Amino acid sequence: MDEAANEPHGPPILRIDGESNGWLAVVRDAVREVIGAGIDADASSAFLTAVSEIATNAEAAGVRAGTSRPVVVTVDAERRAVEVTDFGGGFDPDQHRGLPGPSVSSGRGLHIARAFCPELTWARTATGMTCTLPFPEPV
Amino acid sequence: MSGRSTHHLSIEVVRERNAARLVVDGDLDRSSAGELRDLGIDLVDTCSHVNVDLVAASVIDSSALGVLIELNRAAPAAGCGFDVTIGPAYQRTLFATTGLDDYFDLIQAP
Repeated sequence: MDEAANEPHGPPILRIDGESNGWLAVVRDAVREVIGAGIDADASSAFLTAVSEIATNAEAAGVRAGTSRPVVVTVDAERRAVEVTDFGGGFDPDQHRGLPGPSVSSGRGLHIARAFCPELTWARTATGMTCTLPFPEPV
Repeated sequence: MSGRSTHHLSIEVVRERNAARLVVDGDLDRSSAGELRDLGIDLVDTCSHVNVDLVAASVIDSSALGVLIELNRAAPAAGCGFDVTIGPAYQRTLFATTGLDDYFDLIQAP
């Protein structure tokens, strides 16, 4: 796990490399630390679920591509956003909009992420994808 | 940042005669959902009714939904009733947006 805070008074930017057990919990704790007052528990849980889905999907993309490079998650307090970058070669998010049948046990992650963070955006990189999830607005 | 997350998953098993309730507290994600699966499969094999209480779950991801679907499929085959208790609004949204609100026997906590 590589974490780097670059400010003396707290981490406006925290980079987390997802390469060890429990890294999703570390990501969520980092988001909880900076998401700020005024975000109610429901909005926080919804956003954290969206971040977890995107990070899990990014990890799976890397595994499928056979890369040894871990997912990089950046929690940016100043921009109030989380960025998730994978090295899985890229994909077309628009081709993953359907839902499986109710008795199918997988395939809902991106749908849930979009439902809980409708403002999320995707960008292709040279080696994969970056997904940006803006923090929810304070009530 | 180090140490265990303050939202580490805990699952309490409450036995009542031949029924059982799995009370989930904390974050239920890909890395922790297996604990729910292991406990749930054992209980649906040995109980007449199993309830999963998610009210105190702070995160429920698609892996956790997958485990609930597995339990919901396994329970009837074992002669066991199965339902899920939900609470906060984000949990209602989760089940509704995935179309699973009609699939599960959902109980809305007061």
